Amino acid sequence: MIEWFQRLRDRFRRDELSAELDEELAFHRQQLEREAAANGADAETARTAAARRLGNVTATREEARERWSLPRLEHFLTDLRHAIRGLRRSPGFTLTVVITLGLGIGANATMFRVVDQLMFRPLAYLRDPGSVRRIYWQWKDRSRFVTSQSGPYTRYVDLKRETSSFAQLAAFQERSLAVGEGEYARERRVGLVSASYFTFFDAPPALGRYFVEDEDLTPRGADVAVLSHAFWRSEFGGRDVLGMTLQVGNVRAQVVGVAPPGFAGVNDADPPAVWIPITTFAGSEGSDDARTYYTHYRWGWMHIIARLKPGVTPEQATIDATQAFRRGWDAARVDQPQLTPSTEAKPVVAVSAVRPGAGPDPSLESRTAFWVLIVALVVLVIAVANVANLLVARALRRQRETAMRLALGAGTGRLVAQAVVESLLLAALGAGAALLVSRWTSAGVLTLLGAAPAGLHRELVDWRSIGATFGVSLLCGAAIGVIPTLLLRRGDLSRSLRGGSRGGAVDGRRVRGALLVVQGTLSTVLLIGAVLFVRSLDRVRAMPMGYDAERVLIFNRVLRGPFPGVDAIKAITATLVAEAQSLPQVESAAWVVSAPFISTSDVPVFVAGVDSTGYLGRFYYQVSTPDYFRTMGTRILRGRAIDASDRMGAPDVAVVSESMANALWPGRDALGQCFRMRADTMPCITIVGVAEDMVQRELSGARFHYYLALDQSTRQFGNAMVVRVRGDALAEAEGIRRALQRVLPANAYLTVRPLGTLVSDAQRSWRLGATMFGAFGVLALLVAAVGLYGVIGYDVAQRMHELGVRVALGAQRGDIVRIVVAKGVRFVGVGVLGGIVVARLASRWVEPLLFRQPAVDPLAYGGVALVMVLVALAASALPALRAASADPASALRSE
Amino acid sequence: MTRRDLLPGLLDMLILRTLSSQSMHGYGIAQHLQVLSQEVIQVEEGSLYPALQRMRQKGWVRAAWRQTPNNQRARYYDITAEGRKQLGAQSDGFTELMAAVRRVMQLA
Repeated sequence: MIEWFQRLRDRFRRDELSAELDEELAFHRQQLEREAAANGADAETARTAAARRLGNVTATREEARERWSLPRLEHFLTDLRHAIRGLRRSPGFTLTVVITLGLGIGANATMFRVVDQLMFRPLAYLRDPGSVRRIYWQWKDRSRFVTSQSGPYTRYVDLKRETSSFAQLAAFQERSLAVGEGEYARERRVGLVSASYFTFFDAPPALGRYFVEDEDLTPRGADVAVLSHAFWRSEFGGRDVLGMTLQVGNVRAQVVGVAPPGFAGVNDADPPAVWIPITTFAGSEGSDDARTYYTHYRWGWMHIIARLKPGVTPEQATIDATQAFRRGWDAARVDQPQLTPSTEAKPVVAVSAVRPGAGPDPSLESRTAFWVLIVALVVLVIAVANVANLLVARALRRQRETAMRLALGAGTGRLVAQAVVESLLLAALGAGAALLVSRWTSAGVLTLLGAAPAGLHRELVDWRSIGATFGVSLLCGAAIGVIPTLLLRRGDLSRSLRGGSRGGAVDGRRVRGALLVVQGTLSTVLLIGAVLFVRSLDRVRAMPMGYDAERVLIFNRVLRGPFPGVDAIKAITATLVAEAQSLPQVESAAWVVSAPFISTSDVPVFVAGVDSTGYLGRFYYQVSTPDYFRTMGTRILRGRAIDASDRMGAPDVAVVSESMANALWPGRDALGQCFRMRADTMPCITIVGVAEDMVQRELSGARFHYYLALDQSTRQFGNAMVVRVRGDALAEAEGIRRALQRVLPANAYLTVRPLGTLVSDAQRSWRLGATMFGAFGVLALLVAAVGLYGVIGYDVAQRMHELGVRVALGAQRGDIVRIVVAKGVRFVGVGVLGGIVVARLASRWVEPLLFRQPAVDPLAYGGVALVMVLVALAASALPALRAASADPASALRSE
Repeated sequence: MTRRDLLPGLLDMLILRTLSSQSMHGYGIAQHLQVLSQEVIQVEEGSLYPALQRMRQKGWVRAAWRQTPNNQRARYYDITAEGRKQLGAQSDGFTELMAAVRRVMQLA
């Protein structure tokens, strides 16, 4: 090894070493001459004697020189120079290959980065990541199997007390809370974590310390906070902040430490700015559920990570934790009688991947991204097939040269080595182009993904992606080098020499035809996928939302400090709504208890004559002031909306969604019917109106919603307001927020989110699929078309002689065109048929990613087949016309 | 005295042995071997210098330009720790081999 390295080093200072050796030999000669002279010889005799003793100096030099090099390296450098010269001679070929590979590899580099982030990348600072898992809760809800990462704090307590499989357990959650005071208050990500959370990481704090078990106690932990390094630098310029107080949500926390740079805990996509003890947060929340967070099971809100004890398998831990979960489930039924018994719900714990993307129930985004990665790989296969095809064509064109070299005694090994060096060089150039492509496209894909960018933009140089890019490039280089080489070796030497470029191409044709068919198949599959995803996105977009998302802003009010009392809360609310309604840019405003996409709540309903409404699905409620429907732009289909007459003392009324009306009172008029909330002993609420369905949570699923009057509610106060804006909601948002902030008490803070943004976020994963499949489908089509064009063009050039004979024998131009085009279309036709078969087989896995769009869609299949054939026609028409317009005489003469 | 050719590999050992007592230039090594072996071993310069290059690349010797006592510039070679290890191994091997050869020659 040392010797190899030395030889390599010496290779680059050969001239220096050579001069040294010369000097050394000269010295030696001088000494010999002096010795001879001392023995009495004259100068001339001494010189000859010395020369004789010294022997063959040239041979010595040669031998030494050989040691200052690595024969393989020399060969490689020669091949590399040869390859560079060859590529420079045909810039069109080189450019095509580099662009094709660049796009193919670049697409993979981008998708690798995205999928890596969602599923695989180990968390920064995490100690022994192999033993760390996330806890997922699973149970049967009616006929459906549900997976949830969230659970009540009590289950965390149960796991700590009742299991023996875990060395460490930590509870955590994140919230967007107002951090800072007055004018400087901003909504930021806040990590709510148990003290044990930090012990999962090898991350010594940059300043101070993390909080400890004694500061993370039920019912309420200490008011302490740890800052993220980025937040500390940007907000405090990195000065000494220890002991300083910082308002975090409701908590006036003392800063005890600063995390090291890049520490993001479990969520590196959107790292928190501040961490506070989870018990401090829960203990200061003040809501009904929060008051009993450590004794009851009502509030499922936080996540758990666990470290397995050495030697404990995830399966053993699953059994262990499931027993605790089951006991907790039974305990929860004491005050939640509507829960199905554990014998029926069969609750189990999944001890699985820390990144939810690789867990038991990955988000639609993760699943789509994973599919898109597969698509990117398919594009790469197409690109590689294409490049291999071009190289085969090149090899065939050089067949005579190759045969000549073989005949002159060049070893097959050296020829193969040369071909491999050339393809590796191409792959390396492709990798370079790929890094550029991925730099540009990463930003776009991440924007499509929405939440992920913060973490991904942070590192400009991502070594995992770069490593993956070069790894993939190397494989591509090997692939494109090996295919033509195999052909080269099989060629019959003498026939190649004799037949010129007309003979000896049979093998090549068959392989290249097969490559074309594969390309056609894969392009067809991708295009069908693209059409399906685009149609699915169309359906998402065309779906009635039940409101004018673009005109509505959602304000969230954060009140800090102790609960100010019912009357004070109502007064603040009334002032805020009145102020909003008085603003000129506001058309109407309503105070609400739940906000679409932000927080929705469901409570079971009871209806006379219906055994179990729970069987139909979940029923979500909204409690609001009168102008709610007008503000949202939701139509009342029958009856009336909630109005000012619905107040305390008046009969309890409700508006229900059309779906709910149809589900509970099928074939009857829901108006005038009544239902009960929570229990069948509660007073009956009369239905006064039916509203059109609204999308409040997921885009798919049932829309069972009912709407109550805030004035008739004793338990709910709400903390959100919907506002209908006259002009552009986005542009007016900040102005309205500032105007409203003025009427709020000093301990209150408003945040604003446009409903349109929330809707767009909900559509994100569908958009991701449509955009990526669309882009890759078109890319695949282009690459395949270029490939077809190249192959047919080459084929025509090869057959010029034959076509010339045909013309000379009386074939018409049209006949020639038909012969050539038919060939191209035939390849693609076979490919399209194969593609349709593959698409049909894959439909089962694709369908769940589509929105109300069947994966077997005759229109999509037919359309794509037509496009493929048209492209094949176009790609082969150009060479065909060229062939037809060539002068047969010159074609015949040329050989 | 007739000159004898060296068995392959022996030259390395002899050079290392020579350098183990003091650092020397190429000419010095050749002289030293010649004198000590009473002219039996005559190192061909044609093989001495390539051998030195090889041993330098293997890390057994180090080369440096120094002044000779006569104030001439010459390239001196020093044995390295790795070279001493190599010398030990080679001379052990050689001794064993010679003993074996001798036994065979005496018995036969």
